[in-house]
This record gives sequence, C-alpha cells and structure tokens, in this order.
Amino acid sequence: MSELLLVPLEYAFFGRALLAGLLIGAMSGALSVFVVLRRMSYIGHGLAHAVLGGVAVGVAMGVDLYVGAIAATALAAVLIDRVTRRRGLHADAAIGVVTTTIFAIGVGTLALVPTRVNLEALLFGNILGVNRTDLSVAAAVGAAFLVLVVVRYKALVFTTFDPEVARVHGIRVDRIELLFSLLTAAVVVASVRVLGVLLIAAAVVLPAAIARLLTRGFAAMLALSTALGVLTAVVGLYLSFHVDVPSGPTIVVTGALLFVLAFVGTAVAGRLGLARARRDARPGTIDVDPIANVSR
Amino acid sequence: MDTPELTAPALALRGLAAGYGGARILHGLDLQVDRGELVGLVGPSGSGKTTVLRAILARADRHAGTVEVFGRAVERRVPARVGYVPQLGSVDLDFPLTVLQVVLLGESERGRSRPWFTRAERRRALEVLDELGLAELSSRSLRALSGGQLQRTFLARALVRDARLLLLDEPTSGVDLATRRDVLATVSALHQRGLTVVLTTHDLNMVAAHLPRTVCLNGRITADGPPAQVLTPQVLQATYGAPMRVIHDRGRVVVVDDAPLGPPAPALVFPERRRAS
Repeated sequence: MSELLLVPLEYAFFGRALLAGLLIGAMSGALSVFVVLRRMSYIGHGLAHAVLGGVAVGVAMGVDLYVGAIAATALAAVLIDRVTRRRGLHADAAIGVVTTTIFAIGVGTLALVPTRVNLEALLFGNILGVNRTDLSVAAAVGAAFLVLVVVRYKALVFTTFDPEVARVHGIRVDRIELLFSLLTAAVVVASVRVLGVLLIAAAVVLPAAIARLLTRGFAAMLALSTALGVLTAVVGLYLSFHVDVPSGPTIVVTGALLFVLAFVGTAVAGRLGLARARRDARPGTIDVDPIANVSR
Repeated sequence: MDTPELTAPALALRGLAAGYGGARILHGLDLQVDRGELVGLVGPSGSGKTTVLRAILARADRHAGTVEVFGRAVERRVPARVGYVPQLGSVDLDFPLTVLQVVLLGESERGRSRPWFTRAERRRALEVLDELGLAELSSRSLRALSGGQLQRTFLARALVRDARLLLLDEPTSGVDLATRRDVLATVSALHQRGLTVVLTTHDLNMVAAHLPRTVCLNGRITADGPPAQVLTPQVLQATYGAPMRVIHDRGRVVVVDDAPLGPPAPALVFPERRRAS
C-alpha cells in the first residue's frame, strides 16, 4: 500500500503534478460552491472552450500557451459579465454565445495556420507535462483566489444569495460579479494542464454537488467542498500514474464515484428516516380528529 | 441649523418618469412620503408598483424627474438607511443559510474585509430577531419557515442596518389569512416605532382596513389619501379599468368585486365548445 503512495513521489514530475493538483483541487472545490449555488454550472465548460480557442490563436501567433489562454478567458469573463447585465439575457445564454464564439475562432485558426499543439494533453490533462511555469501559475492564482475570497467573502455570499438586496445594502454587485467571473477564468486557466479543457467543467461542479448533499450550512459546504476538491485531485493523480490514463479523466471519475456514493447514501438515509417516522406513527399514537369520530 | 437630511421628507418623487430601457411605465409621478408614514401602493398588475420601488432603489431606468430619500438625490447608488424586502418568490429557500446568517448578511458592509461577523454584530442581529419574535428560530433554515416567518426574517435583515425607510414589495402576496395578519402586525409595529414604510399590494381590503394612506397607481397616480376617501368606485374604475362596488360599513371600507364577468378571451374558449356553438 505504502509503495503505491510513495513510488510515484520518486518522480519529480509527479511531485510537481501533486502540488499543482492540491492547489487546483482546493481552488476548484471552493469555487464550485459559488458556481453551483449560482446555478452557473455551465460556466466551467464554457470558459474551458474559450481556453482552447485562446491557446490555438496564441500558439498560431507564436506566443506562450498561457498568454493565449489568459487573454481568451479574461476576455470571455468580461464579455459574459457584460452580456449578462443586458435585461432579458441570463448567464447561460451569455456563456453559450461568448465562449463558443472564442472556441470557434480557435478551431478556425487551427485549420488555417498549421500548429504543433498536443491536443490530447490539452483536452484531457497530462501530469507528465506539469512544469515549473504551471506550478507558478497555480500558486499565483491560488494566492489571489485566497485573498479575494477571504476579503470579499461576505459580499460574495450575499451576492450569490440575493444580488438585488445585496445592492441595496451597499455592495457593488456588478464588481463582485465581474470578480467572480475573472476568478473562475483564472482557476480554469490554472487547471488546464492537470485537468484538461474538456473536464474542467466537472471539477468546478462535482465537489460542491457532493457537499450540498452532505451538509446544511454554507461554511460547512465550503469547507467540505474544498476538501473534496483536494481529495479527488490527489486520488485522481495517483490513479493516473498507476493506470496510465490522462489525469483529467481519473480526477473526474473519482469525483463522480464520490458523488454516486453520497447520492445513494443520502437517498438510503432519507428512506430509512421515512420508514422510522412511519414506524413511530403506529395506530393509537396519532391524534384522531374527534369531529370525524362523532360524524361517523 | 437644520440640514436637509434631518428635516426632509423620507421620500420625494418629483415628475418621475421611469421604466425599463425605452419602455416607460411611470409617467410623471409626484409623491411625497413624510417621515413615519405608512403608505400602501395599489394598482393592477403592470401599473408600476414595483417599478416605483425599483426607481427609489436606482434599479429602474429614469427618463425624467427626481427621486430623493431623506433629502438626498438618488442617482446610481441606494442611499443608506433604506431597507428593501423583495417578493418572496425571488428568494432561493434552499440556499444553505440559517435565519441568523441571513440577517447577518444585512451587516456585510460594516466590516467588509473581515470574512467573519463580530460578537457585537451577532448580538445586534439576535436582538433584531428577538424584537421580531424570531430568536428561537435563528438556527433554522429558510425552507423550515412559514411565509410570515420568512417575511419577518427579511425585515430583520433590512432592520439590522438601521433602515429608516422600508420598501416592501407585496409582503402579503400569496399567503394565507393568518400569515397576512402576522405580516401586517409586524409592519404596523415597525410603523409605530417611527419607521417609514412604503409597501405594494393587490389586497385592497387589507389597505382599507390597516393602512392610513393609500396611493392608487396606474402608470400615473390616480388617487392619494386615506382609504375611505380614495377607495371609491370612480377611482377604482380609473385605476383598474373595471367596475367595483365599495361598501361603507361602520366606518370601514370594503371593496367588492362582484361585477358580472365579461366574455372570455377568444383563445381561452375550449375548441370543442367553439365547434359546438
């Protein structure tokens, strides 16, 4: 057992991947709480598509992978924010319009300009490819994420719960919304190497979905979701190493299995609770309507 | 020396024309609400009741006129000391917050960069909950509350920031009679304490029985004054575009909608009946 855990650590690339996975797992776990409660689960999927578009255009222009990814997701985040503010258009429509357009531009660029991009690694994640730059990006995003969530925690919660009244209470809701979009974009960019473009969406939904089933309070949900993000990342990375499958799918499948466990477990607990309540309500213990008895 | 903030009316709308984008819903409203007044805005759906509240909160597009709250012009930001309770339908009751946590959110901007609430803030929130009879429910989730308890929770969230002007959007909409009484008793108690309250409602008889001032609205103000003077068949016809009977019984006004029903809209007639006829 200990070999399974220790052998991968003998490889420097796995150590880097594990460190990046811990940071990304914690960030995506915490972020997923706000994503799920805002009912914006589609945003991870959309921004990941924007990453692909940005990377394609960036590589075609001969710049670093991250430059294209950051530019595309930041642009997508700002445009989603602007489009959502137009009355009658909700976030889902804004995400669909903006991110698929950037994705389409990227795909078109790839067709026009021959480039050497490892598409599989980009789509599904690759722990072999985690380098110092990826770690630095994850660390920088993690630090910014932590500071912003701590400093604007109450405003983020209020805006997520009731933006209309939060505005009345003096919170600059527009700024908080933009901040949230940019934070999401930053986490998505930092996650590309480990999770892959196609699977980021699950990482910013699954931890909170599991935590929602198991907790009642906001703080507990945030703590559990963050822990689950870390757990799924670590377990998924080890699986990726031992089974020789890209890291994105192993992380997501680990999260999905935990979700199934939580879903079935809470359903069974609910059924047992109902059965217990029915058993407790045996004949003779229920209040009988006296008027009904008289009329009979 | 008097400063405008100390002597000005709680609310003053002057020549207010407002709506959403180019669509105008309010046409030249003039309305003054003095400090300590309790005012009910009534009118048919689409008459602009909620738009009046949204204009005060700088959330409707103003085409002309001014809005002043306690003597200060409302431009892009909502003035301090305004509390707002939206319609219950707009709230996610499954959001994982307790009653106390919802109320504490009302104090979010006091220690804005602190991620936690201080003991003093918690004590203040619990005091407000106690005043509204919710102290024992402070650890409940929103889903576990009745309609009246929910309204009181959101009132507590407004009060915890020392709101002096309360704007309530249909606080008695979709609730049973007991809950309606519960909500009205709370609003009345707050009014007695000196708060200025402006609420919107569809319930004409509630307005007639419990509110000292009624403003009838249909894009414009069709009448403004005590219910006994305002709720007349003529005013109601002008406001709702439908005939209504008004009964005066021992000083109380009762509005009765017993006019014969007109023909249904053609699209609502069942196809088989249309064929049969």
